[in-house]
Amino acid sequence: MIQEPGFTNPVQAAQQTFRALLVALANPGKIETLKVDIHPPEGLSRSCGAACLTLLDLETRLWLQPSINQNIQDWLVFHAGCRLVSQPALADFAVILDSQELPSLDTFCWGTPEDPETSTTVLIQLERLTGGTVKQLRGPGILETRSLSVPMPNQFWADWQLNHQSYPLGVDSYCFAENHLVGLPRSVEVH
Amino acid sequence: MTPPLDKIDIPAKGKPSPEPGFNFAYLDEQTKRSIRRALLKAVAIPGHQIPFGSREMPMSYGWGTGGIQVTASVIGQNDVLKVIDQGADDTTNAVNIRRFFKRVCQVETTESTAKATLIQTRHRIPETPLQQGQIMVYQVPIPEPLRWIEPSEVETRKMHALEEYGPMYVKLYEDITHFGHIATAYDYPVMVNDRYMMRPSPIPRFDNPKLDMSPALQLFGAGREKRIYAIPPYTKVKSLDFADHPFSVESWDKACEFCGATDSYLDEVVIDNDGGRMWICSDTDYCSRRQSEGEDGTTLND
Repeated sequence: MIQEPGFTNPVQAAQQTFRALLVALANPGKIETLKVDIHPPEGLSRSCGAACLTLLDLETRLWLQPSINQNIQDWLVFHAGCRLVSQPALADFAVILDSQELPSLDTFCWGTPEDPETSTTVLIQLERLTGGTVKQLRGPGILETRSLSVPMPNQFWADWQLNHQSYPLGVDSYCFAENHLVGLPRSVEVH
Repeated sequence: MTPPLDKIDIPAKGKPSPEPGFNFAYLDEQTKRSIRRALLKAVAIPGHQIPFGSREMPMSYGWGTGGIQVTASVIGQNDVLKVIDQGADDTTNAVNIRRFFKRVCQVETTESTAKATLIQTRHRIPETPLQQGQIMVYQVPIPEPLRWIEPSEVETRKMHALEEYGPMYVKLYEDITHFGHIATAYDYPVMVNDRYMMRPSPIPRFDNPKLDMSPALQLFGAGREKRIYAIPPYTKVKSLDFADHPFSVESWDKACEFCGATDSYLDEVVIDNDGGRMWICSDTDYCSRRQSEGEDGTTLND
């Protein structure tokens, strides 16, 4: 049984969350702060929970990292009504709560040359968005370069090279921590 | 008996109760979510057209149903909305769309480009430079740049996938052989982020340079054709041209007769039955701001 509520004010909170997601993806590497009233289940950060309720519904297929507990899964399915899939390659969205166990990016859907938009969007929750190795980002949405020190495992950045080189195919991702989020669209080049 | 909608009192701003019986910003949440997902993909793949489930809106196709759906999915209570039609804030299309959003969102509206956070536009980009954080929403009639060259959607999607853009260069070159210059005056095709060919909607060629490396986020919505695409801020947007026929914009040997501007896009207006005409700024906000600053164009063209 679901005890935790979703958004206190679903219409406005979804709009504010979407706006933060839009601005974050349009300005890769820029950390956005979300101020919406939401109390997701333990283990799911407010920004990641808000993003899920903003983007997921009965039209979307969601892949959850297998280590994610039943309580979080039930909360997402109850409040968003999304369908769960067992293969990451079938998912429109994937939720990762343990970045160390993030599967290789090529296990997700990368879209097709004619429909690159059918790829998976990977939502990754972290403890914090700073303190990792400093990376330089380039690409649409960035005037010159922007530095980002989001603590992602080295394997992720190695995978990202191929992800970016395959443009316009590839996954888009977001990193979340507490109230904060940062967007990494496939168009961004990381050094 | 239910009172007519225009007789129902709209609560003061601050109380987020939209038009009775309608969701905030008119569209239902399910529709907004699907449009929002399309918008995020559009931002991730600049210039690529994303299909979306376009809804019927309370206006005819061709009046900005695509732009309105994008605006409705993006707009929030704290936005300040500006709507322009051919540069003007006071024409039918602009006034109606502005009033629509005022009614279904109770947002603040403005005619000032600098004050707006969200600008929905039909066929112009404001003369006042856009700023970081602003969002432009373009109303698009035909999103596919290759449509008049290749009528099949199946084929044009393949052409985009293969970056097969040669036929467009042939079309522009035919202009040069017929007229001596590229005669495409509006909806002039561009390459976005060196990858996708895109129609910038029917803005005059004059506005094309403003698309390039714009600090604002630019979203495009085509309601009838059910497509959404986008240009993130600071993205390279190149107007197609040839080494020996570089891209150029229109210029006038006139100044605006209201404000004297020589750097803005001028509309030619017929003023009497004897062929008399005058040239005035198409951007009404830019023109009236210049006039209020004391600029005067009445003597310049004599």
